[in-house]
Amino acid sequence: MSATDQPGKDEFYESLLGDFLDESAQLLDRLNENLLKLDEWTQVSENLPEPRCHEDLLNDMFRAAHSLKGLSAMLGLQEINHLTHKVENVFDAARKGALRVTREVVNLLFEAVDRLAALIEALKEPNGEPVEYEGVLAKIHQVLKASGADRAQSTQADAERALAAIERGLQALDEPTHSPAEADAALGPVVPVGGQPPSGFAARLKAASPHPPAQGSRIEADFSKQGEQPAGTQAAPSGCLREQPVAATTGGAELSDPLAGIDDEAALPAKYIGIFIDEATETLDQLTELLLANERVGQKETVEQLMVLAHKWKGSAASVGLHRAAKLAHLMEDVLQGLLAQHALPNPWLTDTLLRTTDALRQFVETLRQGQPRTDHFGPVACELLAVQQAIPSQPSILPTPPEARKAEAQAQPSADPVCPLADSGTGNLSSFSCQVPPIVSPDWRQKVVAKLPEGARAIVGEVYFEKELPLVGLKGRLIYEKLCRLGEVCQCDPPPDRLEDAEQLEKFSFALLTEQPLALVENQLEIAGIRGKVLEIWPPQSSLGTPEGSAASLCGPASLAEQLGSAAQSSGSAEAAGASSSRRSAGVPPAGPSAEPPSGEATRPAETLRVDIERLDELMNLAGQLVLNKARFTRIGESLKGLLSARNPLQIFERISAALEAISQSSYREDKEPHKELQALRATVRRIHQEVVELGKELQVLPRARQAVYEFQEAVHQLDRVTDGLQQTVMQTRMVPIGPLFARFKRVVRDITRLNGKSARLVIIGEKTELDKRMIDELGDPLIHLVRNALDHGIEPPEVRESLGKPRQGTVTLEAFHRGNSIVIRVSDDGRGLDAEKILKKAMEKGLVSPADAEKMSRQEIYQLIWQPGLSTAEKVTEISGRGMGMDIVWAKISELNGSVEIDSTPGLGTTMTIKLPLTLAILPSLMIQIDGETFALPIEAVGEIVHLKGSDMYTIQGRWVARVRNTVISVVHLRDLFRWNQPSANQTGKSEQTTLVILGDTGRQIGLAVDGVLGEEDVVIKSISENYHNVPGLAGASILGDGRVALILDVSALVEMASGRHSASSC
Amino acid sequence: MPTLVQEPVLAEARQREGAGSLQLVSFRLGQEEYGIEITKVQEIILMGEITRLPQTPAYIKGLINLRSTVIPIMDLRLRFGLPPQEPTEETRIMVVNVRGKTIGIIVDAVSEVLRISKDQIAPPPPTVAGLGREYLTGLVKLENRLLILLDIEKLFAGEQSTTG
Repeated sequence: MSATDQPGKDEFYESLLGDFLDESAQLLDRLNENLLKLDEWTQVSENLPEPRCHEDLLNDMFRAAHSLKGLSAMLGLQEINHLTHKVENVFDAARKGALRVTREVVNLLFEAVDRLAALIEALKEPNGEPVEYEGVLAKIHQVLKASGADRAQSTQADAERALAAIERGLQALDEPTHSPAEADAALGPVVPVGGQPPSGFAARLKAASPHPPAQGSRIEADFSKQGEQPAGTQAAPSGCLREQPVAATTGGAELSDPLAGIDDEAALPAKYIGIFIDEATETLDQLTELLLANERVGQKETVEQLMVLAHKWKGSAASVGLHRAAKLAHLMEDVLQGLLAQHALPNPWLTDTLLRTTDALRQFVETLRQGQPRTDHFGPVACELLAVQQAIPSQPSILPTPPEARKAEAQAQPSADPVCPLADSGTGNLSSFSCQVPPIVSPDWRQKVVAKLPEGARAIVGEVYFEKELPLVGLKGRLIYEKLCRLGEVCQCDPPPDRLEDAEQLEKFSFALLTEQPLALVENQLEIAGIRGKVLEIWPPQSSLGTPEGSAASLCGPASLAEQLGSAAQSSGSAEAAGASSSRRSAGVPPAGPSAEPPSGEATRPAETLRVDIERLDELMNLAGQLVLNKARFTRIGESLKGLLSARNPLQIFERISAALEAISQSSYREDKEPHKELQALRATVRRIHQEVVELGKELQVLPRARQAVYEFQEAVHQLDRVTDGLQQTVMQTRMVPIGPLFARFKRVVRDITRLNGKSARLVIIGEKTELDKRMIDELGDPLIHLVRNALDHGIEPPEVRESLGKPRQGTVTLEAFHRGNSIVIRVSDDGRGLDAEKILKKAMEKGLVSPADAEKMSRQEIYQLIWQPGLSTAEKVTEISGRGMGMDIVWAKISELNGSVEIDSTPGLGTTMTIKLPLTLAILPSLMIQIDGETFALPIEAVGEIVHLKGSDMYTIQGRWVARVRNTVISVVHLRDLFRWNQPSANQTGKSEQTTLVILGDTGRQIGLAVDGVLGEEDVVIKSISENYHNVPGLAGASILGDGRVALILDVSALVEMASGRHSASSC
Repeated sequence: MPTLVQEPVLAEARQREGAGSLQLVSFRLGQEEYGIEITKVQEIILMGEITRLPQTPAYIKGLINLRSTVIPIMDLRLRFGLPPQEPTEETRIMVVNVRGKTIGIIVDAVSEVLRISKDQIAPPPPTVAGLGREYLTGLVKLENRLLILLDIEKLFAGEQSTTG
């Protein structure tokens, strides 16, 4: 990362960067995923003569690269911007058919995406090593050059020249010396390109006004008027334009920028710039959103809105004197207006152009915000817009040309518009639209065909339109039929094949093809001279991504102006295919059939989301945890209060005392007529006591109320209990993300590894919706990679071996995730050869991990457990992928760190399954609370096998080591005081009990019995890191705070097992 | 190396204190009186129940719960090799912030907060030997007594890397 890549590291930048990192990760995932599909495709299509890749796939990737490019440009990340630009070029060339997508290309793209990921990763660590990416850049450049895809660049130069000429015309228009009328007369039809009415520039004079809406509404009215005009009467600008390039070649170098000659006001009113920036950003956001929405659901209304927005932008920019930006917005507006007049909808490439324009404007606003407005990137975008605009079949003039003048022009150029088939009104029997290929398969044909299609079959339904009076049209039809037969089964066609050859007049050939081939491939095969156009639809229709996906329509016309302008839209294959006629994707035509109705009602509202810093969630989790602790204290207080008040009813006792006292005092009154003085005094005392007792009685009346209050208190605590549980769970849920994306990453891993080791394997993913704590997902990548690598390298056999064993050539690795109780289970399984117990044992003995004596007694499961030992690899030779014996102990360590466990299950010849069990979250640990030497400890419940109570007679010593017989297994007994080095005696040492309780920990084969004084029960504890304020302590997984506020240590079971075995091996030496 | 950043950091803190003056919290340990910069001290709390921690040096008494944060407690007496002493009425835990970590240190008593001027600080005499030598930044001469200025950062520098 060079310093220049980070302009002003302020808060705004930081937040943008956060968004970028987030978004780019998703985009990279998408690219990777699609590349995998592309990779598959290259394998399938390797033998096809002229394969054309699935266009939607390429388009999707193009868009992903494009978005990434735009985002990186916004942040000024030049390196990423360069690379994405190149990648985008590759996709662009590929989707236009200029570049053949071979495996090499896919590999290069993979490499580029990896570099991109590295570059983006480097952003997180500004001081990290710089990422090298020039190599890939150069390679891409070479690939593009070799394929001739850089032709686009030369055509762009042509376009620039042509446009420059137009621009000069515009400048003339801008000259204040010309009256508007003069300008009209001079330029007439040229205007659509730069179609700015002189009044638009006069708006500059109104520049002080920061409120362009008034102006906007006026133009809106203009535009609606324009929209009403029938397309056929539109003036054709192209005749004039065609002459321009010749003139332009004599032009100077400055002509490469269509916006040259337009300058921003030197002194920008700072007061309004701020307003402009805010407004412009908002408008751009709306524009982008609409463009993206439009890509999904093409609607005329959206185009109108887009135009209004572009216009608004133009107005705001012009009003503050930013004429270059205003001009660019204006060009965009023109393109949109052209579309609208044509009743057309933006197709993907047009949308891309428009998106690029908004990106350029956004970039400009960003530079403006930083106080150094730059518009030098406008040139190429403007060229593109102009080119695109010319590619739109008919271009209405934005200039309010008087109708008569227009008519005159039209007459002056009788066959005015070679681009527009609509203008061709000479063919009487056709309506103005009929010569154009409809955008969809005619409903009649579709209905007829679909009714007869076999259930669940995928078919391509299509119609091919022939040119009028095409000689030997029947033969062409037959050729198409033959071609289709090679691609699949032609189940229906009209006319039927046997009548095709005789046909002399044929308008169209309709067919239904049962095939699994991609649409683009079929479309490609139908590139034949003499056909006017074709429509293809996949049946059943694909729901994803909407309009252009399922159907492809193309129309052919005579050499178009677009070609001369080197429109980016041009399809390369067509040039070779049909001499003068060129084919390109239709810009879209008005929705005709009922099927093309936009699914407006079905558009589902996306779930509203909010990005939150994970630190904040951690904090929230922490607070919720504290609340749980406090709640526990309340519960205890409630219990003790209840206990205090549950004594025998003191009121009854009081009643009895009171009665007795009264009896004494009254009886003495009656019986003693002449009482003694002492007795009198005593009686007085008793009376006083009685009075006091009565007073006390009143006090005691409080008791029932207190009891009632305690009862209510407990009710409230119960309520609190429910709320805190709910809170904790909700907070926990907010941290939960599906494991799908993590699993999806392994598709790439499988591909790369099988490439390297020559094996064949597929990845099956089950339960990708299973949700895990975000932190957990972050931590799981590493161990899973090791497991998957192992499965692919050691588990899955080479294809030949598999075949000889009667297994399918392709192995299967399954990644599975599901919830079980309070834990998450993740399984990595393969259908390979299984673990070789003998080999493991041999290796372990070589390494001195197992003594020969022990080896004989070990069960299969116990032997499997040895693979977790560091340095143990059964691979005969170290490969690039695995076998260094480092993997499995890393897996073990990582999973233990996450308080989880791993189980191995393997059947020789059938495969291996690794089952990882993890707690739901990292922050809360379901634990077994135990008491040892008067202290409370927490044990992750996940690791607890069982609890057994033993009498002294069940324990033995073997060579001084305590063991216990639990049912039929002998388990070594471990005392914590032997494992841990305490630096002080326990504060509350308790006496020894006769009975020993053992908590059996660890997995089969490595079990230990931890001797405890008592088991306190299960509790969900909040994990507190010890290293946060100290450092990690071996044997401890952390600390937790008990209900009474004391700190309890959480034991690290795998470390305990490790320590215990280490101690044993040490003592046995 | 952490020790290298020590001096500039302290110097900066001193400068922030104003021209040549420094605020200290003084405490007692055995017969000696020590001072720590007030900026390092977060709070002073009473002794409570400490959960002992295994695999640690003897002077680490264990962990306590300080408002839901678990912090380690160091017995400064043991750290400096003084004989252990049962907690008294006066025993306190000084909670200090060092390198982003919160640590409690047990002292015999906390005396007072005082402001000194920098020229009252003298370098520690080279003759002073013993465990605590490297953790002293200087001696502060007060009217009738001597205050040992403790470099708390250095005291915990060793703790960062120690394991087991």
